[in-house]
Amino acid sequence: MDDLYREVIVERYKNPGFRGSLNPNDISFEDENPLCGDHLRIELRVDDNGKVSDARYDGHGCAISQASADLLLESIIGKSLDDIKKLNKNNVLELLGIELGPVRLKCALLPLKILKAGVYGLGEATDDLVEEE
Amino acid sequence: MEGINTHDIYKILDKDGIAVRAGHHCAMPLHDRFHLPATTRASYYLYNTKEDVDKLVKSLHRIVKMFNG
Repeated sequence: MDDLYREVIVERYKNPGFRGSLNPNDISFEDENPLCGDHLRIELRVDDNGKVSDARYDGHGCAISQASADLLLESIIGKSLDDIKKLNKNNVLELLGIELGPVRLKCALLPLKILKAGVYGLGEATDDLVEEE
Repeated sequence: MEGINTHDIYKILDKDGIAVRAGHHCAMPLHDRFHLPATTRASYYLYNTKEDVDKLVKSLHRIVKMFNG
């Protein structure tokens, strides 16, 4: 089996746990990767203690970007917004457990980029959001 | 190939040693016209053999099984 398409990634893509939308929500942000057409929206609910109580994503794209979104949202439930601000690309690659070339790396990191832009309340999602500090 | 993303198809074909083109093929208005997000295109030429085609079909069947099986 291809490393790039580890069973966990295809399984997540086929049977996502966090696909959908939250209405009402506290944070909502969407963006796309114009090169490949991946489009994603992430919505969060945040409780009184500033922790994520629920999260959903919706959109379309390759298995890598969608599985990355599903795994990422699963990992942030119960985390504080400050914890999310500290996440970088290494956390996502750890969740996916695969080596990625530069093109697919963009797909894998799109969800984190959108998540952090939403949490920071930015107008746009920029690449530096996913880099290590 | 219903329900399978273009970029997943080309990436797995690439791993199998098959070169195709994926995306808009410099023809984005045409894709918009047919409401297609992107397509994968296999082209044949003089140097391709019947075995190459068999290999492509075999890979495509494997991809369908992987995502829809």
